[in-house]
Amino acid sequence: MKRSRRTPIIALGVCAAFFAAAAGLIASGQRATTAVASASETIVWLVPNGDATQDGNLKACISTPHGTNTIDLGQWQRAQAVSYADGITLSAWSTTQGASVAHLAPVSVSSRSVPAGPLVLRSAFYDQESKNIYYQEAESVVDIAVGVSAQTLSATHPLPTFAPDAIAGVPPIGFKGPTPDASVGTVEAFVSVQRHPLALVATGAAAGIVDLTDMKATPIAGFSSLYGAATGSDGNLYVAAWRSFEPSFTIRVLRIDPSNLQVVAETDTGLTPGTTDNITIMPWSNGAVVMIAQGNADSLRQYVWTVDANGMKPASELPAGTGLYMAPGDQDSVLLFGGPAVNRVSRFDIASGALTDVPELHAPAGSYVVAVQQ
Amino acid sequence: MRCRVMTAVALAMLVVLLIPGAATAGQWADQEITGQVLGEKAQLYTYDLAVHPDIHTSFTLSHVYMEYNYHGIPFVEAGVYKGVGGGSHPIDTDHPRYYRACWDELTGYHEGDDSNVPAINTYKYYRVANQGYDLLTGKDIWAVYCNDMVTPVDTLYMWNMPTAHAVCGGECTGSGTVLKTHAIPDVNVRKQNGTSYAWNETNFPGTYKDLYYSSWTLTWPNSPDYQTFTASGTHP
Repeated sequence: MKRSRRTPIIALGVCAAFFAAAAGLIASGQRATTAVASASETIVWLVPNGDATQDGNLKACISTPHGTNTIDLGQWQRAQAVSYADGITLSAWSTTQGASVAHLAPVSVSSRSVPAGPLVLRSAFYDQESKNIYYQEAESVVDIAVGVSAQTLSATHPLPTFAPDAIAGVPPIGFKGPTPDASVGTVEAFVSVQRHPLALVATGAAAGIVDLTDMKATPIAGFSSLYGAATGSDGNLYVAAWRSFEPSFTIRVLRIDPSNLQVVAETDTGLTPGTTDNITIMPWSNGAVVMIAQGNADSLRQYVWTVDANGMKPASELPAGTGLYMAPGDQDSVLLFGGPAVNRVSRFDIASGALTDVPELHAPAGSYVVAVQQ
Repeated sequence: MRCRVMTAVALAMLVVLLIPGAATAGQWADQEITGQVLGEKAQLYTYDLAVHPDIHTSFTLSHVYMEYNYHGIPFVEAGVYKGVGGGSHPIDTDHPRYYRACWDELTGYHEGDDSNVPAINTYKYYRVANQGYDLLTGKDIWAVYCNDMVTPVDTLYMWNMPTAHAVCGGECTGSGTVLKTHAIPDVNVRKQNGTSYAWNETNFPGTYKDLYYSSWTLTWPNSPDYQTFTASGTHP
């Protein structure tokens, strides 16, 4: 479809019970701070009331060495969790009730109810330096201070627009979607580089980076989609990028100079984006480790690479069903879990290529692990 | 386009039309969905489909379009078109065909064609409906129906599209020649707050009409339930 104007209309209210249970306090929209335990060996899993695709009541469970909290998320809920060195950031959103975001750190739980309006919580990011949570709310990025006052925003950053890329922003003949035009797009990832929080944005017709300290926008020429970004151990920014209008264009991992946000290297994963389910990039060794999950539920595979200034090493293709997500493991390993792995967690040793089960991190049968902190 | 199968869900609806015929809006008012539906759906009926014989330059269509975000993606769209379609297997058809298209942030734009083509001067319909969330793939499930409300022609696994609102309309590219349909919406529109409203002139003034256009521009007024939509073109 084509159109000349559009008005947002995603109504989202508040989901308070989620954090109420998590914090042990709570009323809708209130900040909550309470002890929840050490972040070590924290596991978050979801328990659906039915099969994997049923939208009945969904429960989230958070297990720490100090016990397990069960949170009734209600109907039509989605939840996502990301582990960081000092805690886990949880996002929950509903098709009808609203959304919330929280960070569960060793000393506190901080939560914020998200007001009505279009938002994107999937990329909620916890900056370990500033102790702030960043997420997109409508056409702005919002950041809240963890453990200070979750109800008081640290800042709201209206996002700049990106014009369609001259190459990657040209739709195919017969394209029946909305005509691409300048847009703020979706923040697909956040990273923090040299104390600068960066929002990595894709519109489908353009991709770019917004420095939230001065809101300067830097386009990534030749790309229109991106996901999964991290600051590597070498200080460079790594991000996966591709072209949404070219199904045969393979996913590239870009190495970006943090001083000027320019692409300095591009390596090819050899994978087209058509069946991608998830991409995760984390700092690793002298660069970063990249995980791409692709396929249908019954054939979902994970591919893992390491990349640094010397390029990308050949991918490790893991057995079907290993998982959907990736988190840091101990020593030279990463943890793989989620999706078809259901309640199981595996450890993948990158140096040796060994894949082993981690029974001590398993969740109860019938549940789905969404975050692991070890 | 990735596909699989599923069941049904809840609602939201709109309309549009570019008609050569004189069917009245109430003609199909009894064609509502019965039974319990969850989530979001949009459904469009078309009637008196007529296609100009000279369409070749690009495409023309009548569609129902479900989108989540404010900037265009992700979306799922279904409808009838003539001209260029088929996505990665392009065709240029002289006869109207069903199509479905989707665009999400991880997998890009996909378009599919259906061999079940709508006949001219018959009543047809298509629907897009949310069917839940798949914990195995971390994606939202959207089913597309074309003239069969039981078995979807496609089930799309959409990344980050938990809900949507509907926009319906017609448009054309290239020659400006339109594919003309008389389309009416499903009976009820559900707002994001869960409240359902009858789709009628009282609740949604100015949006439920039969119109004739020789040179037409159709604009939907702004509403919390649907977006401003403009279609423009020249009637042959």
